[in-house]
Amino acid sequence: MEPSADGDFTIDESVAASVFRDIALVARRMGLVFLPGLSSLRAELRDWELWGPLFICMSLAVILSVQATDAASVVFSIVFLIVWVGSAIVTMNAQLLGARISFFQTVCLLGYCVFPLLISSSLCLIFNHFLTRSLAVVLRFSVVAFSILWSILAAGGFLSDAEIPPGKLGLALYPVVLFFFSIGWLILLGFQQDQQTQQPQSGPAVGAGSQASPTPAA
Amino acid sequence: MGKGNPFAEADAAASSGPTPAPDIKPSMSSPASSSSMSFGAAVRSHGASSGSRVKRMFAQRDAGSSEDEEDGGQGSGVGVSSWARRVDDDARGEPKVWQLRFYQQYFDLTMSEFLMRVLWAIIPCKPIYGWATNPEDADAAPDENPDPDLYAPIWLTTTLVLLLSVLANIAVFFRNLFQMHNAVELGHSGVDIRNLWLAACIMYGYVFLVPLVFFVLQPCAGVSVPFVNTVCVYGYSLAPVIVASLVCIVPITLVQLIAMGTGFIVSTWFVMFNVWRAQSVEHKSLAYFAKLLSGILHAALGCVLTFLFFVR
Repeated sequence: MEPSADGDFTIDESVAASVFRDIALVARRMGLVFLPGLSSLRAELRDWELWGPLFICMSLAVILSVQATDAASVVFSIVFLIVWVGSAIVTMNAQLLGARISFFQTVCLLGYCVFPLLISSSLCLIFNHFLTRSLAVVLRFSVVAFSILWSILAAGGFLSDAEIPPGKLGLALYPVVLFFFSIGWLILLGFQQDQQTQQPQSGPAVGAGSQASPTPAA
Repeated sequence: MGKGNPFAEADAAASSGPTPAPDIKPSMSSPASSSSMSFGAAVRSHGASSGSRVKRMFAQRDAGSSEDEEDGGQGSGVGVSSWARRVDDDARGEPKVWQLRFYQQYFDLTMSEFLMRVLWAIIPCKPIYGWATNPEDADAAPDENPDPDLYAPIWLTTTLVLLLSVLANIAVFFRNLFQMHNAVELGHSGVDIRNLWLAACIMYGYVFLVPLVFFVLQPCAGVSVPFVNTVCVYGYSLAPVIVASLVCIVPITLVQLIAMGTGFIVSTWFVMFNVWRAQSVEHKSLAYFAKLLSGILHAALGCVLTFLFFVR
């Protein structure tokens, strides 16, 4: 058997080499989500693979289900459901608009673009653990909002390289916007902090408020 | 050496415009290998990813069918069907109702057109389509007689469904967020599927079944409006409701009532203005009755939504 034009048979290489090559590909694509604008986005969309989306969605689902102590399995399955059903819907919408994109390409695209939301959920985990409540709330909102925006921009960058007819990029991108908003909302719901642990702090404030209110009436 | 030959072929094919080997093929067939590659060469050239390796092995099976993936190859993109399609696009004939291609005619609008139509829905002073009373006038002034689209009924309804299910529990969410003292437990401001399911059933049922009722009642009034036109009207009528729902984030009941009331007044006016519009109607009184009925149904929807999702 002859070697190929660019190297050996991949079937002969060691498992470690295969694994590291795929890890390098996943890492490279995750980097592309953060730094779009490089040249070969269309090639990335064409050569879809599912390792990256699996890793990202699994991490996000694990983080969210660990936070949701009572509905952990529901949350875990909802993340995967949103990703797969959302990708199917985005694909159908894009095809109806005349783009030539397939289901697995969309899964790959949306899976990678969830990466900023994964980072924001990890940050929310850290904020809840280390910061005071009000600061954590503000930071959670701003981080999740910022990551939603970044995900949308990254997905828009990838989609604009796909073959969408002119003038319809916004129409094809709108379901993607809804998709990221729903995942962002899931993250915000999942990281709400429990009320009971904060009761002693809100007591004095409530007492001061109720004492202040009768005085204008008097 | 290097990744030269197979990818150079594919890149050359990609950059030369419409060729038999397109850039993006649906699903499992590999676009990175042109159809002329032999199976041996396909196996030997390894790509950077496992997916493309798998796809190149399947490329041989699809080598014969790559010719059909021209401009018309926009059918179902999911996997297996691309292997089965061996015919040319011309031989596929007119798209049937159960094929995705059939509905592409209803998605033939640009972003700016869509936004203009949404604007005319929120400020309904201009009919959404059909000023002409007969097809000759309709063809003569195409700008004033745009074709209906299905993008709005689907996506405005979906937006409203998601908004309603999010806003249903947003009072609890904010109470927990701002640690107000009468919010007892974290509990069920979490993922609540019941509200989503309820909103989805109500909204999709309304936007697609009420036009069906009108479609069925058409022969009695001598009207012949296509089903899609009425669905389009009902789809765009949700645009003021979406704006009103966004205002309803404010947890004050009075603000919510005023906002939803205003939204549904505008929306009802839009529906009554556009349903069965400008058709040569033989039975005028029946047409007016139908418009009144549509208005009453829309107002009923408004009450249902307001008291189910906002005012508790």
